[in-house]
Amino acid sequence: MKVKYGRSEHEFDTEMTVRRLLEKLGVVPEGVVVAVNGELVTADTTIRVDDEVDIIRAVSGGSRNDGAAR
Amino acid sequence: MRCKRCRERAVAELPQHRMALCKPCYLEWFPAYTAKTIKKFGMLAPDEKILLAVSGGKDSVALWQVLADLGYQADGLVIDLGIGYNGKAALEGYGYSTDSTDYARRTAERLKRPLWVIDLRRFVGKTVPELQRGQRPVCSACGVVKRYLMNRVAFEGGYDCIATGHNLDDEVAALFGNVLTWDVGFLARKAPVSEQRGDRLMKKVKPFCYFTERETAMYTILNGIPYIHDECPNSVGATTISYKELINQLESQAGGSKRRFYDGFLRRRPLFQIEEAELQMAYCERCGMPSPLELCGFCRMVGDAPITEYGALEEVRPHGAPTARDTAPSPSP
Repeated sequence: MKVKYGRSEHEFDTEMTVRRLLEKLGVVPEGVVVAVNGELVTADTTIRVDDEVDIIRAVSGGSRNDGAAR
Repeated sequence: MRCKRCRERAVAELPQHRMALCKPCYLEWFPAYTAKTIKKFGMLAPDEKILLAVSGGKDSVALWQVLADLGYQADGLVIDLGIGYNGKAALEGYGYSTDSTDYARRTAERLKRPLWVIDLRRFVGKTVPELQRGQRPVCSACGVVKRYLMNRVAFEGGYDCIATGHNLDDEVAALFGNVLTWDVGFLARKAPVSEQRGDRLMKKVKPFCYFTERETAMYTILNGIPYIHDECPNSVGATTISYKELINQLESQAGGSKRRFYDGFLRRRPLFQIEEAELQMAYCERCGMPSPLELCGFCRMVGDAPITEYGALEEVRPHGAPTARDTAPSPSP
């Protein structure tokens, strides 16, 4: 499977769940959204070897001051 | 995993709500939960004139969509801060801020709502990286500019309130940071609704304060709403992001931690408000906006820029409409 996470790309040749993939990459599930072949999936979804995975970072922000636009 | 409502295949896992939803159910649930939050905190009356701060990021474009779907009349305000992809001052018409502004424009066009566009370079002759002048973190300068212009445009444009897309992660990370430094004044002011103070410090509301960042990201993606995925280059390594990552680790181990922390704070917030009552409201001698000092933070930061530009707000205009020189200052839908 081809996995895109930000500017980095990874390849794995065994199927695994989304949860296991995030563990392997050291990614905290709460901070990301995962799409497989363009569709959002839950952590228990099994990713097949020929799937394309996009791990989309959800965390944003800079200032800890209150009141600016998000 | 199956949708809690209809038993179809779930696409959105919501640990803090102990459920998962399929795409159609999620797209129904998200605006309904926003409406519930607005009602719980008494944020908005149906006929309030709302100025929505739009950055082009997922939270603000999602909020604009949801407010429109719920029947609120919200106009947008976007500020081209002049930040390039290297974090420094961008060439005019290029860079991160220009692209962010374009996403705000695209949302305005899709929703057919007016958008105030302020180009900071034209307004005060400088970009945010140039205003920073090495004296403060660039995020701090950015916050001063945004808060000032949001309040000023809301006041001069005749709006009832300002809405921002702050989410639960933003609120919890800000609280966490200010608990670490025991900034009691900040803790006293932190709320889903900040009521208007005096005649010029406008009311602010945060209808997404109960959504995590994952939840707003899932909504924009499932709804096919375009937003800028790149983060502000100046936010790389920012303290807030490291707080958010720490808090996300906690949330992944114990779902609902963010919400418990936030609700717990809101219940105890009156404990911090004793100090706030002592603050005196005054006005900036140069621009007339609220300020505890002779000069407001914005005027102090901008320095020598001609004062006449502040009063006229000539570079503020509704998107696609004539400039403020030709029209009244308030945008018309």
